[in-house]
Amino acid sequence: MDERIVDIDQITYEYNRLDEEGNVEGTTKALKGVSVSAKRGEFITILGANGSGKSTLAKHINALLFPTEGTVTVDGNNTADEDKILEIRQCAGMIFQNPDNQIIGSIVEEDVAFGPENMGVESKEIRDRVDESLKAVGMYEFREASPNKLSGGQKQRVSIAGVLAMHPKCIIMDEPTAMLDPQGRREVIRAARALNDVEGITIILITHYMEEAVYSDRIYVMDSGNVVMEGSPKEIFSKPEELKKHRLTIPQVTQVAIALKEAGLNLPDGILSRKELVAELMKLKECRHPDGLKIRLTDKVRETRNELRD
Amino acid sequence: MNLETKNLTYEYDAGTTQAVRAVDDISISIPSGQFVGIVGHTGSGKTTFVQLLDGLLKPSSGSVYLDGEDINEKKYDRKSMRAAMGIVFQYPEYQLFETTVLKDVCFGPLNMGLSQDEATKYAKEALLKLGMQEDSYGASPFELSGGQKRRVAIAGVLAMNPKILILDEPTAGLDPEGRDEVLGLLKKLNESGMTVILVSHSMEDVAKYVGRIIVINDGKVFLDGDGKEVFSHVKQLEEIGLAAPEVAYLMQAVHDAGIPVSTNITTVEEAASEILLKFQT
Repeated sequence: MDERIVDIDQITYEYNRLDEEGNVEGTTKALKGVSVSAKRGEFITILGANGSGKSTLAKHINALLFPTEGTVTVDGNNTADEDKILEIRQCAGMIFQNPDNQIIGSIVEEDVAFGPENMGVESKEIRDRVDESLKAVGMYEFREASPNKLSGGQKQRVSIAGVLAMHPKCIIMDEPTAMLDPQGRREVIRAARALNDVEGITIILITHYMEEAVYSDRIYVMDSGNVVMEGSPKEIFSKPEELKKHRLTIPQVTQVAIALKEAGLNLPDGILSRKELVAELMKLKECRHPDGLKIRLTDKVRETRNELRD
Repeated sequence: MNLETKNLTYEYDAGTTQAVRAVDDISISIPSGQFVGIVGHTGSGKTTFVQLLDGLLKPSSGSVYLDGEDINEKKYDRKSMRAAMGIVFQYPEYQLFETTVLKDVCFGPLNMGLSQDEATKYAKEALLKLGMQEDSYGASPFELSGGQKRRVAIAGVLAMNPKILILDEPTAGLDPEGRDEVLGLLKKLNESGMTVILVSHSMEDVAKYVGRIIVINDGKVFLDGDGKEVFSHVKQLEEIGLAAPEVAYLMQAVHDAGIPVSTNITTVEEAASEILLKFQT
């Protein structure tokens, strides 16, 4: 079995711009030779500014769009192969930004059953899959509720359950938290991480929230239709200047760590979580001189500190 | 212009068994020139509330006063109120419809009865403020990226030169740089005297930019104060589906580990300086 569940190899995507009469005005290249891959069970995050091509790329994995050049292979099947499209869409499920556009059933469990029903799964099996999927995202107790009575985060988890019920090997989430409140964001990200950890489902997450990217195995950064950075969260978030060039930023905790480091505290690069920063600060604290219980300060820290006092 | 509400209440499906009280007895006052953030979980009633402020919904009971006048009175001059208050809805780019960027932004001022020349002037000013350069004015708004569309849509409201600007989640779906650009612009507009009312889900953003935060829950005002006051109630905020900015949790963790930092911190800059102060000689 191929180690890679998703293999996007050097793809370009062009579309025609039309004028008011519908004549072709010219072509726009949304993707310019992009290669991205995900191993089975990996958690991948794709970051990038608005208009960088992230969503266009995501739609290729689900065979909603087809590359002008290059190939997209999902679980060994080329998306150019028309006979394999249903298989590909079943293997790689997709979640979009607005949960209201994705929910069609009038009762939660009906909505989740839609996918497997459509695939021709037997009814007893559908029952099992619906229950399983709702449990996996923590929405089982709402199975008989009407989706329009749910919060945004709950609705988005129902959408995820709907995809899960089709037993995908990979789920692509295109800004699933953009419309949600903090609670809803936490719920959805927690659900995504659990599916990855427990069920081993490959997750490809597209987001504008840097905090959500911290837990992924690898991050790709896109800009103007190209992949411009690739690496672990630690590697990527150690380069705030470069990220800024691509209109991105770093998590707040990392921002604090960098400010402290610049002020002279001896901290390593790429601190991503509260826990890491606290641990590093405690190490510094232990380094303090036993008599004075003070650390040795560089002039720069002293200067900054004095500025702060003023 | 001063905006005030007294016992403002709004019920959807009023008089039926399905009646839902989305806004429940809110009395607040927003003096001219404030930068107010309105936060609350989805379904808390914040969007309904701002739509009442803008006179798009008629209250079930209670009133909205603009400079002391009830905007829902029969004789009230709604037209001049429309010119004084601008509202930018969620995903405003869905409302773009014209063939060029400039025409789209001109629509509002023209509709207010301004001449084409004046409208064009205001439109260009608004577009420039939002960082849209002259060379894009002839383009179709539908060719632009998501962030650019959002800016054109906001410019459409700004071109009417409102005294009070209300925005419902203007940064949802924007990249970090785009978020900072839009919020930075709002800050500038506010500093030039405009009242800005920002509905947001991002605690980090309101903590950084806004002077006063009004937390709405179940249609009622739950908390009302500056960032420090509001975010000192972390537990209560979490119970109603919200959160404190990420740095506030960091400071709590640092504090719990035995470094006696203040936990009432809401921005990155404050967090860094507070920690540094504990590592002094």
